[in-house]
Amino acid sequence: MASRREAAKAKAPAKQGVPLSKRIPPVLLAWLVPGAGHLFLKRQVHGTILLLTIAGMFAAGILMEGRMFEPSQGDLFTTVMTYGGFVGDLCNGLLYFLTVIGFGYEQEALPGAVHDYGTKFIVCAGLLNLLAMVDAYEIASGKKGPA
Amino acid sequence: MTFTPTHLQAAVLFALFASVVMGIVGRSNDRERVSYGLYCFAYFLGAIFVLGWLMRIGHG
Repeated sequence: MASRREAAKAKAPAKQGVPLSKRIPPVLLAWLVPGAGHLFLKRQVHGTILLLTIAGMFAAGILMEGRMFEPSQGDLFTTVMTYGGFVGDLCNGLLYFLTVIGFGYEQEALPGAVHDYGTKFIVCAGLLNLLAMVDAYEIASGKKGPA
Repeated sequence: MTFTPTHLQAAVLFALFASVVMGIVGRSNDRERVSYGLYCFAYFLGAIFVLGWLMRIGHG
């Protein structure tokens, strides 16, 4: 336990040494294009796998005719669901903007379970991209060593 | 073009995508990434199998 604390203390100066201007661009890139943060940080293989995986999951959700969440007020459950889902959708970055604004994708609530799976796939692709953004931040700030 | 998987196919596909990303972001060297990704995938499949049977048994 004590050795872990000492190791964390020893790492602390290195974390503070990385300026914010070097930590933010990979995160923004990772948000806009899944995997781009890792590509920017010269982790080409990881970036490519993240891009294929997250974009693949998003595409699968669209092909299942999943719905994009729109924030709406209502009872607590509805508010949390729609705002949470909207944030999850937004985490897809350009994939979301291109699909909704660029291609005008709009899907009304359809009967059947497959469309519901699609909706969840789209949100979860965004949440996985959020994990990739956090990872890009940790790499950029020196919290993760070389691969 | 549409994609209409069964519930099992969708769940396995979800497990695959999630495990790959969790493997990459969850560990700090490639050997551990692969084993952690496989570990996550195995647990996802296990959960699908167990919960699927529980729901079937619970449903009667």
